[in-house]
Amino acid sequence: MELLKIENLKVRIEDKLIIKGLNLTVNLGEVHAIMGPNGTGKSTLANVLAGKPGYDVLEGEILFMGKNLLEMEPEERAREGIFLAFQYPVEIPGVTNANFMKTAVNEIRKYRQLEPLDAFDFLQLMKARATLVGLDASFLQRNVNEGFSGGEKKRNEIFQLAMLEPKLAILDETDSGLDIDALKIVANGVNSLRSPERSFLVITHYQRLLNYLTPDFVHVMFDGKIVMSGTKELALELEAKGYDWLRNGNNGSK
Amino acid sequence: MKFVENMRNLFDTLGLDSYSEEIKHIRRNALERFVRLGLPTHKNEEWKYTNLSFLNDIDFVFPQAPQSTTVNDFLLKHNQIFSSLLAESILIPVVNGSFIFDQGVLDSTLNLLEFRKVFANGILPEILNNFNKFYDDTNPFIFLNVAFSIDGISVKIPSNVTIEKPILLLYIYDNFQPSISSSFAHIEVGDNSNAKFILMFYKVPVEVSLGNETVNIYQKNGSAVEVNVVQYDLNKLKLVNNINVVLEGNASFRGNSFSLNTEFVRNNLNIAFEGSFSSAVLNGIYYCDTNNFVDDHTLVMHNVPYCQSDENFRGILDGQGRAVFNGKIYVARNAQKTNAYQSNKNLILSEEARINTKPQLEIYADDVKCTHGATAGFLDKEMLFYIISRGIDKNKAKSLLLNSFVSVNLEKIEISPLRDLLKEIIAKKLHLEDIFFCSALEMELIKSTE
Repeated sequence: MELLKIENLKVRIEDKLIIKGLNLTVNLGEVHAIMGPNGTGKSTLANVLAGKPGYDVLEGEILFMGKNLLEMEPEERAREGIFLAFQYPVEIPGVTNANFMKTAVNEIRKYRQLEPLDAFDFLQLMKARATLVGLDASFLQRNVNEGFSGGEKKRNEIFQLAMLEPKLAILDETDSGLDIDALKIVANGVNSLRSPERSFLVITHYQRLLNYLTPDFVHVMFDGKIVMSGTKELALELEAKGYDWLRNGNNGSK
Repeated sequence: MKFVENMRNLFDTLGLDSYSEEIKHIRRNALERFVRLGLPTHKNEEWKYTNLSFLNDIDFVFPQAPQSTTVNDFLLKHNQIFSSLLAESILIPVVNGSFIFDQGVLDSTLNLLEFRKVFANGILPEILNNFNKFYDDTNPFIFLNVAFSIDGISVKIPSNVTIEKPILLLYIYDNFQPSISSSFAHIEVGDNSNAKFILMFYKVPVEVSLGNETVNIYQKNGSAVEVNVVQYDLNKLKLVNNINVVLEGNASFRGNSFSLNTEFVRNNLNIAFEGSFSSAVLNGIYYCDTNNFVDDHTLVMHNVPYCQSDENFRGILDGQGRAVFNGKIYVARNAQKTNAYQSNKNLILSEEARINTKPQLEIYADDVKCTHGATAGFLDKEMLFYIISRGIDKNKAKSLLLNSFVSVNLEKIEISPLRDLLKEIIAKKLHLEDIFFCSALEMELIKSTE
């Protein structure tokens, strides 16, 4: 089933055209990796999918489960099943992780016409999911990302992903700033969340995350477009040859 | 002019006959000083943004004597909200300016304290002498307070004691005619003693009141005092609240101020360091919407070397809410090695809301560290998007951020039932009651299943 279909997407930030005609189709249950050098529009794509304000969509269409995604408010997209793991998660003092997630989960449940979870069930769920990414229960009482290390912030993103159970999870440079141990924890967390009912869009600069997180497809983004698509071997080839390989004119699609 | 006339006429009805000549003299002089200074206008620097002219349109009388039932009625009505706080405090109600001692005084710790009526015996001149520096022309109301206070108390906490429970001064205004209430409290905290106070205000919103209250605190060497001011839901109350603190050496003071849903509040919080190695921490929260008005004036006088002050006020302005923050730091020529920090942050949520914020630094010493900063801005867009991207409604996301903004200062309140109460009040104001579910019980659940 086609979960996400992006056709000829063109996006501008202020006066600068960043995404210049991008096409991508993600089926339910697939893991897609998008690689590419810095400044090529990868994070812009993630933000546009999540509905962050400040991006001008000039042309193109994005369908999510057949619905026009661009017409939805960001909170509506989340309730429909889109989740963005932020590259730079923000700190929210005065709001505990527990309260934050309870609010989010119950708003999403309400949207899906489900009963809110009671406190006991909810806490059980939170603790189970926290364990998944190696966070202990005391983390639930801490304020969202406040005073967290870089690794803890990224693990918190995956914890939230596990709590909200999206259909499409977008990981925006989730591996950046992680040491190898943290990277493994994050990758294991993601692997355990893979399911035929969930797709992943993994945005990364480096290949190393893909050692732990085997993608079904790898796309190379360059200058606002997907210039090459293939399987996981493409990532290895890219790692070996470097991004200069693209700049030297080899940008024909495979 | 009408307000001043009104006050002068009222003074003649005060009935000073029972007082000594000395007290009568002090009171008359105080009234004369007030009359001479007059009602401040925008031309007075310290009252520039605080319009008092409405006082000229009200004909004030003295309030009726407090009914013995007033306090009980209040407690019955509000038991649910305040019960946990009341259970853990020593309650001293102040009804229409009168201190009521038959309630709550039973608490055994109070035996430690020495209470004296300030106006009934000769201690007033001596008391005022220590606070002279705060009785200046910038604040006419403090003289009106001396002239008008129905009675006054002096509380003396001996040396080397810790009063565990907070002493709760509950100011209740209950009047059927437009009234002016004044009270005077003097608190002396002995060497190395610790005490906490809560000044909570409650208005029965029938007829307008002008409250003009003074609390003077004298902290001896090594003492630690915390004062929490709670101003919440004060319709029909115009309040001028004066707190003056003098610290000897090695002493520490913590002040927390909280104002929400207040029609008109002017807080004067004045601190003077008279001994070295002392510190003061002043935290404040004001949240003004509809037609609320709060004016927080603080003064920290570093008169001696090696003292430290840390001031942090945060405000939310919405609707047609208005607030004033004026933070003055004075560092005397010999107050070297002073460390003074001040910050005032504001969030503005509507076109018509307004904040006038003014840091005022007067530094005469050359080896000091003083920093200050004032900001007025809007909600952080990155934070807002982060929350919304988790499926949370925009309005709720805004509320969470507002809660987050003030929580920094709420967390600094050390009296836990008070901290919980204020968190609850803020959550209710922001319609977040359903969110803050992690009650003690649920926290237990988290722990027990660990």
